[in-house]
Amino acid sequence: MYEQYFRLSEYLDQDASLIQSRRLYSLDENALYSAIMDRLAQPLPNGEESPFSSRSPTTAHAILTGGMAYYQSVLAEEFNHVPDRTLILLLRLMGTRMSIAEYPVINQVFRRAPESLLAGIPAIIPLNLEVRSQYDPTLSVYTSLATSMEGTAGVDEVEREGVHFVNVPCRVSRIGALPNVRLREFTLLPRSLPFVSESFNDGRIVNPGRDAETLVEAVLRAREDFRTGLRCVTARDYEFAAKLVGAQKVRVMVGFSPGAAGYFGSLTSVVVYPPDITPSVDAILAERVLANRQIFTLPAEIIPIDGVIKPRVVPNLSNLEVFNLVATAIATEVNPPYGNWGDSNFAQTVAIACERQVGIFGVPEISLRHTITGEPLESLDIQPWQLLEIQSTLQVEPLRT
Amino acid sequence: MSAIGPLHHIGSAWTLWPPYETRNGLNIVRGSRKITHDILTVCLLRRGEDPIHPDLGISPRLFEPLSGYAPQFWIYNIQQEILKWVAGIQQLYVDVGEFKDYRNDLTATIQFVPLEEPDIHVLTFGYYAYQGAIWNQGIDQLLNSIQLDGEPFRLTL
Repeated sequence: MYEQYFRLSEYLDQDASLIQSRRLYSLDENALYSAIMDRLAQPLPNGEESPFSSRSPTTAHAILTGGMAYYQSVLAEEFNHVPDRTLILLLRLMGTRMSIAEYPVINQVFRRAPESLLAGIPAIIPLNLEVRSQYDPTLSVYTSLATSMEGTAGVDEVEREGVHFVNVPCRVSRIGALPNVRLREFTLLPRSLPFVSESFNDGRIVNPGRDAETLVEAVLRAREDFRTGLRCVTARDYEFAAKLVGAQKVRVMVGFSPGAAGYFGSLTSVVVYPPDITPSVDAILAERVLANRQIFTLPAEIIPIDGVIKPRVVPNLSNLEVFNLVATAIATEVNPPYGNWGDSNFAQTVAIACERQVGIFGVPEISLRHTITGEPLESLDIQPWQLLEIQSTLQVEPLRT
Repeated sequence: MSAIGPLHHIGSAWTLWPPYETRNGLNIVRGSRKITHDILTVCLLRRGEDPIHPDLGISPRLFEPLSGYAPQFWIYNIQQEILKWVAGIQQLYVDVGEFKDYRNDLTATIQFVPLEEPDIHVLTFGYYAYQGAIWNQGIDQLLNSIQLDGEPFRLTL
């Protein structure tokens, strides 16, 4: 019963600092001071000079800013010195629960035997049918629902492969995270099963499964939850909640929404990428939002872009190698989920990403356009909820002289 | 954006001497008044008081006498400190003299010629009021005695 607790105590004795990644508050008071002084010295919105434009340390606003930054760093330092045991006790008082282990579920394909198809006899796949692994005798999968394949077909139709088959989600016999499974590993059907010619796993994973959470992991997870407070107040909270359910890129806009003219004080628009995650984000935000806020979750609008890029490259690279370099740069830095929201300097973003690749000196010429309408990029009205995605129809013409 | 004039590069600042005006809100200074304000800050800040700039200000020596204090040492130190911290000064002259002999008072005089401005400005304040302000007494007496070019520094234009 106390085994987990002893394990946690042992862990704490070995490693006094539970947080291995980074400190809770890494506050650099000099950087903070400079940032505030820079912000104060910005011109006013109407173009007038700021009354706090001097940055010399003798001014009153510098003294006030310096004191504030200093005391903030003192507080952060104090908070970093709160021992982890104290935090764990607090978290336990707040009711942290450990999540239990889950079985992995993978997709299994059952193919119908030709003779049953010709004779019109249905092939029935029962619930909890075991299909064994051909490599590991202790591993097998069990069907999680009963199904059957019915109907008749002619000889010519039967000869075409893949006409009659069915996908069944199957539970793996071992609880915890999915072990290493090879493609077409689960093929050993019971001999008593009639009219099924073969069965195999096609590599699709329905649920990757999960190991039982240790107390250490539970404490770390609770600390993350504790930092956000299970409420969405700041833009960072919205982003954190959206990323919990799998959003890769989030934009939070307060007061306005795409397609509606005007300012709405209680409205927060949350734009998410990938687009099909929107219902999940909507669901998790609905339970975390404050009482008087309205939430509008919408998928990111993706604008397809292609055109011509003319990079200046080292002479001994082939055209294909140059294309691969450009494609790598775009896939790892420009296309969603990377890149910037509503990027008005998109051509520059693409050029800088390409120039980071070894082998490309510079991108002197670049002309981009909308893939479908053919409108040049300069004339597009890019909105902050839009992401630009370069398509595979992009042409790369290397310059070697 | 206003036109760039002399001493534009030193910018404008909020001054602490005094922090606000009854009628005009925050006391914002620019130009030669900003230089005056910087000089006063250097004179009145103790070294270490600003944690971000621990070298800013002057540091009285330990067991410095409260009476019979020789101003020559202060004159030398404050001149170095002002030239170190205050931007926009072409020429600087600091002196402590007895202008009101009958009151047994000393007056600190700081004269400076700003960069790009063919003018000389004279900042004066009571030396003993200043010593009191940085040691153990209120600052009001000093603030009342500060004069720039013969006019009280408290007034804003």
